[in-house]
Amino acid sequence: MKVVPLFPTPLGLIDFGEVHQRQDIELVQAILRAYESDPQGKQSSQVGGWHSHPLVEFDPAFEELCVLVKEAGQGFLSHLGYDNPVNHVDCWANINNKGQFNMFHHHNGSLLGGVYYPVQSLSPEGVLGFNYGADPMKPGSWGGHGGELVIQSPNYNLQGHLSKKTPSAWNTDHYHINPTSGLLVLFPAYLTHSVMPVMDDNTRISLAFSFL
Amino acid sequence: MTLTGRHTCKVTAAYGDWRIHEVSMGQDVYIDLVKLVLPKEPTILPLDSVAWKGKHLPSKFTGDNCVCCGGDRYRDCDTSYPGIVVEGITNPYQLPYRLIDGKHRVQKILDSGATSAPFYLLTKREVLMYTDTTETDLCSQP
Repeated sequence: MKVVPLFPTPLGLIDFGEVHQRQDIELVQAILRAYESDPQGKQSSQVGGWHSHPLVEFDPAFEELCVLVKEAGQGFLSHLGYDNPVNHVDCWANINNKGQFNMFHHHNGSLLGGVYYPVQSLSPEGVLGFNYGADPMKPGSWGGHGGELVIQSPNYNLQGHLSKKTPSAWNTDHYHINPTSGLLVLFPAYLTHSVMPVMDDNTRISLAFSFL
Repeated sequence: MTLTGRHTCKVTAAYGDWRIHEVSMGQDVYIDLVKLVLPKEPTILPLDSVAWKGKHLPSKFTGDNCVCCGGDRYRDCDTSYPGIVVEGITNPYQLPYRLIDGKHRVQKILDSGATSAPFYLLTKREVLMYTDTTETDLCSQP
């Protein structure tokens, strides 16, 4: 039998790698400065955490990152067969501590959505945790570590009457992406996603993007 | 020595922001090496005053492990040819001199234990004459 993936959902994973560590440290420092200058932030999808206002003009580290992110987004769109030019990348930061999370949401109206992790985590003592090159993907249900980006299938709840005998890409409802230093995640703007509650004492720091 | 080719000045994950901000904040700025007029004699400069791509990287990403060439260009380069630096132009380390040609040679010199090296020293004005944002424009210059 031939099985054809008729309408697959693309997810872009770009690893900037450990070679980007100097810039990642500068990004975390800039995010913490942005938090200190605007601790109220902006209310969006977060529950209890901090969501910044747009950051591109706040610090050169963000502008520099957005140059790379824009290039990656343009390449991703081209890979998918689209020719829309990416004119601007909107960028904001999220900081979540224990128990804090982000509700399911999407980036509709944008060309793409994206997330970047400069670090895996920040300890209460202020130590940056790096895990460059780790496997970020976990299919299926939540593993319990906390802080993962959860991508939900566009077909979620449409096949709930079927019994899953063998896990596969065809019957998986969610993918979890662990915060991984240097990892840029790109996805279609329609794809709903959330962030699991942080379960340990470390701080989860990420940058999010909408491509316009 | 005959210079060939051109260098691209852009943001990369490995090296950071090497755009020439004086020319463009866009991604594609080129320095046309062929057209540069070098001084007759090089100038000795301390290496800690010179910015080059990868200066901050640990040895697992430079030299024999160079992220741009896997070490091939590092092993093959001839350090008797001085690098080319520009004084007073943007660089990620905010150092007085920016290297525009010869990063493998400089790394090799640094790895030999030297703390200074000869460089052809150009002014910002001299170099900005030979930068542009498209390859086509450069090729059409007289």
